[in-house]
Amino acid sequence: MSSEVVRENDDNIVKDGDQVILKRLNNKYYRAVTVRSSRTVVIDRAKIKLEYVIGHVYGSAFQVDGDQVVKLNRQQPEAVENADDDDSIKEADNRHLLDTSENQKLGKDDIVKMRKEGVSGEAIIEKLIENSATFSGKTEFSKEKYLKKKKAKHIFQFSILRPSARIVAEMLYIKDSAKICHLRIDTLSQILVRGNISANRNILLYETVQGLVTGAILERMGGFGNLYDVYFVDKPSRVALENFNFDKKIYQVFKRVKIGGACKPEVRGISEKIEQPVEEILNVKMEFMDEAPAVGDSPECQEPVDKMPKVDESVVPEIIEKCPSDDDLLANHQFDSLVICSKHHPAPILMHLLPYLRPGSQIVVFSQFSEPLIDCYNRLKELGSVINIKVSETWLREYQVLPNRTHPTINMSGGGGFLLHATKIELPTAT
Amino acid sequence: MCWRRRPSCGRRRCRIGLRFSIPRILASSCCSSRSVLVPSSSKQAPAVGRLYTFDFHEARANQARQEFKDHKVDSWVSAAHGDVCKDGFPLPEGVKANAAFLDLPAPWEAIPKVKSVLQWGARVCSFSPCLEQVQRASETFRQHGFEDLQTFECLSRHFDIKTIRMNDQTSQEKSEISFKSIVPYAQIPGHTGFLTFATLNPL
Repeated sequence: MSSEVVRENDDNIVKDGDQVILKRLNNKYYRAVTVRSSRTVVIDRAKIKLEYVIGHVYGSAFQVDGDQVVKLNRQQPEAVENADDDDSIKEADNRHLLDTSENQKLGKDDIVKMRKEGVSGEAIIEKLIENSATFSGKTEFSKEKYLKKKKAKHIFQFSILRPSARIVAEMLYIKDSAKICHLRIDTLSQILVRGNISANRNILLYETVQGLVTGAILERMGGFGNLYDVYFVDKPSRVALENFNFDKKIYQVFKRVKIGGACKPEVRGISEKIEQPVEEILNVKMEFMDEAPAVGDSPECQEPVDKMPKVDESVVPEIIEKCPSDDDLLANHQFDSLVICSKHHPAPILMHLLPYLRPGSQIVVFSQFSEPLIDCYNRLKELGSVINIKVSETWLREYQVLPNRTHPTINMSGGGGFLLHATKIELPTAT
Repeated sequence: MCWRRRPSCGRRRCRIGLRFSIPRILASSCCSSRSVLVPSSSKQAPAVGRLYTFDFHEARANQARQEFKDHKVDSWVSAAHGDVCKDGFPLPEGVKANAAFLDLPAPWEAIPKVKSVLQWGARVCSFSPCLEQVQRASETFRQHGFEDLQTFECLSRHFDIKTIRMNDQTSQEKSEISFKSIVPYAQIPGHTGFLTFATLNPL
């Protein structure tokens, strides 16, 4: 049936110059690559000549065969054995199995020698089975698991994927989750939904997770609306944005805005409620700014903290002067959503950006830790103009679903960060 | 936009939010809770995308159509009445979906039907409360050539923020240590359903 259905279109074909994600089959290994006909990528001793993938449909699978890259034809899988058939479980068990290194006669040197002689991955696996004292006595499930493991090690198969927020998020979480503050994919989903992120909206963003959240938001906006990606002193890296392979039209909504450090914009309508002493405002600001520039941030942001202009104490009070370098662009927009996702303390950033939001807008703040969100919660509560303030985290567990072998995966993520979400409202003016 | 909100759906709504972040075209089949589900995905397919929904309950399909009209999204979200397990997903001529969402008691019946309206690389999600359904759906996905199967359970845990005061028992005088803490709710929903995702990769 599938061969009769036309599924291909020009949009779906890998072209020279595309940013793609290379994923190893049966393995959680991802790599972002730029496809060039002259390029060869080396992963785990396998040489992948990218010219072979050009012209194929995204999602196609390939196998590295020496110097060649061969497209794999996916077969329709055979009917899965009847789950009621318990013979496969009854025929063998491990009561006589001794787990020692002597079970396998081939040593590491033998395998290296075979590889150097150009023996194929399939042949190496056959030899390993021949020389295994225990393979024939294993259960069918155990044999399948053994073969899968050997295949993943000795045969290099991969697929070329079109980048998407899901794939980039999974890739970054596996490769270097510390750089994205351990922002797990389900938490990222929550940010997008709680923040009402969609096309034709004005979104205000501060993030230091390499551009992952920026990319996810841009993907959702599809080139419609406005996204203001702001920063204060250090310009955060946006290196992950390249992985998304966006068209120019997606970027037409994207603006990076530097907000001056010393001042805060006028807090409209509720300034009489803020009675923070000047020292506290100053202290909070200094604590935030004193933090060293983050690793991985753009190298050009070398402005040292001590060059930050001193706050004019006489003007700071409840009535806060307008920020001198504040763009009109920011001042004139009434933003629909505010998203903060950073390793820096979110509370000062939140209080600074809050006045730019229109009534009815959504606020979403991510933090790897709960304490900064407790601080944000308390400050928002005091304001009175922010309601429905909730702090949450999501619990995520993956399952292995196979006949007679269904269970949660042995390892799972211990934490994916915390979220605070709230809605800004307009307070009635006193008459 | 207001809608009735079942506590279970918030989590799955958020969870599928990311998987379907670029649906140019999405085919969705639900036998219930559509009013909760669709507003989430309907945000994601503006001028350039389409969302086709199907329900075998005629009154619900009509109600959904009216709701889409009331929310002014009817130009790109449609509600059709039909049994997708028997009759498939009738999309316009030449249109193929990039993503599909199935909320059915027997998703394995709809999987072969949804396959015929999908693009290569399309991602499908099936939501089911019971493990037996998940097992059967996964088996059917594999039989029909779907790959990259992932099944998840996802729960949202909310916290109260409280000031906690504790006594310092070592002190002779009455002494208190107080701090602010997140406190989980005593009882939370333990399960709503399993989400099974699968990709239709090219042969």
